[in-house]
Amino acid sequence: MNFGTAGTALLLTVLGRLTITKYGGNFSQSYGTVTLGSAAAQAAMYSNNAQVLAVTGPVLPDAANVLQGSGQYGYASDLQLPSYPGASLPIRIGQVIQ
Amino acid sequence: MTTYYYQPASGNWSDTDAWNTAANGSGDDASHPLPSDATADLNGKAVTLDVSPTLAAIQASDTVGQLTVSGSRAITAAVNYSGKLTGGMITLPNGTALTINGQVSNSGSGYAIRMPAESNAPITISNPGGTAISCSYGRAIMGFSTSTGAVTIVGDVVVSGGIYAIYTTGAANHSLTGNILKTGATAAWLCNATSLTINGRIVGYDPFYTSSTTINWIGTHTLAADEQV
Repeated sequence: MNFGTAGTALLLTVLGRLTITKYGGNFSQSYGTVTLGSAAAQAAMYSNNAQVLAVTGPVLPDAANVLQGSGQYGYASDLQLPSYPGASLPIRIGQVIQ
Repeated sequence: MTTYYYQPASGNWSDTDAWNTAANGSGDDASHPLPSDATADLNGKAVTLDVSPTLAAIQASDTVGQLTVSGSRAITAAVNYSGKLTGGMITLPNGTALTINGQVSNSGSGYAIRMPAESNAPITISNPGGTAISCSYGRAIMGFSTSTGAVTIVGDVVVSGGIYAIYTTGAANHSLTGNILKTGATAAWLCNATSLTINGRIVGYDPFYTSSTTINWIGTHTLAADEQV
């Protein structure tokens, strides 16, 4: 499975959850990028080789631009780091047909 | 109000008085072209598609009614199949071609569109911005073994049931410009073809079942917060 081609890249923004599992064949991620569009977004990919999609996290403000203390805009008392837990597996590639 | 027209006897779509407002032929006769808001029912008859009709819908619910494409044709209408015919409601013999401008829906255990093993007939289903294929049972497209007709879909593929809404195992280059939105248990597309290019969102567990197809997933897309499994 090719995530994007030389002619048209795959640019995927995930606000929910992306999970990809490869059971056979090959991945090609040369032209694919996944961006987690929020701190709640999740991505998990399983492959038996190193070819997996590049995933970039949500854009966070610089530390100097993050205010501490509580407020109506959701400021935290301390700087927060997003986490990307695993998920179920919606895409299976390369299975042998029964 | 939708007027239904039925095939009282087997024959060509364009035959004089090939259609009737009553299933038993006791109503008013009609000929091609039917009114644009009409629904044509194959009524269990064998019909040859020898023209390119424009109407609201074509439907079949019988196990024997079948529309066979002759030449290169276009159907501008919704296609709705709720029957059990695994021989297909619409058949594309070798050397033919079909474009459906509208939604194809399959809600019976049979197949809405059939491409025989020896067929090279391509099919395009186009409903830009809407649902191109809706499958809740059976298969919307069945390409038998070595059929090499390319499948081109513009619009969403919505799968809530069935056993592979699209089944293609011959050498061909298929494409989907639209989303796969799948909630059914079985894979949406069993594809052992040359290639399958998808430019759309892929939502749902197990969208593909393949062992040999080069799948190209392209384009710029956003998976919404509720599009997860």
